[in-house]
Amino acid sequence: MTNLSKIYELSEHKSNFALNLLKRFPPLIEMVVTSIRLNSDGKDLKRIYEALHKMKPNLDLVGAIDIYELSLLLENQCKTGLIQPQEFVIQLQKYRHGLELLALEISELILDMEK
Amino acid sequence: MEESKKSDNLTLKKDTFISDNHSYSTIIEKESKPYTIMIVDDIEINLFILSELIDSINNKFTIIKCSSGKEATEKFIDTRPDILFLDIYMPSMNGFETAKVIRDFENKHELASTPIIALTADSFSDNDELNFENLFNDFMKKPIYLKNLSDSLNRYLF
Repeated sequence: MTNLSKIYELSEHKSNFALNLLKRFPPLIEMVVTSIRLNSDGKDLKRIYEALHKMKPNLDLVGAIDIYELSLLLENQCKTGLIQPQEFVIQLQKYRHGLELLALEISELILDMEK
Repeated sequence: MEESKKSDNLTLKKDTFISDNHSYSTIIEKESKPYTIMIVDDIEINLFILSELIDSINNKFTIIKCSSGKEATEKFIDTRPDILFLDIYMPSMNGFETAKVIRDFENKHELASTPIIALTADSFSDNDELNFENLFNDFMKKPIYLKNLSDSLNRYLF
């Protein structure tokens, strides 16, 4: 799910920088997941947009392309208000699930890097 | 938020170094005052990235971290940073509102305009660009990389 090439590029291949950067992902993901969960009915588009927007560049950074592309789609729907409610809620759930998996993967990567 | 004060009597000089097959024109040492750089973002990971990158450019800079627009306006008045990197999309007081307070303060006290670089996850819309011109000197799209940051510091600080 992840591709750390951008993380390494950004950190100039300094492993300590990369590790400390990755360690900051799980709390951010948890915050966004909580926000999405609280708005899982898909009604408060402003709050959903805020959560998506905050996570977006960091999804790009960690190379989570599938979730990143889904976030672009959802963010655009929030912006334009062009939403099919049932489909939107399903996509939102998929996005949240993707983030939860990403958090697990990053946690494992952190453990590997610390070995 | 944390403030890391660095030493005085900083000497800086323009230099170029090669890193990861990229040539970055950056400042390493030059006779100058110790620069103070304010970074504002409500997401901790973004503050971490910026502060680490700034530190890698010159570890003697003073970095002032703020996690809200309100905190930034208060600290701006106290510290008068040499440049400010300001996130646009923040709750409560966004980047536009924050920059407006700072520009009003500068105008009221007839102070020189501080370079303000907007940080954004998006490109600017046409409407945003109208406000942008009066408030910001430039913008950078996230995620921020060393080259963009280095170019920005070279352009506005040195």
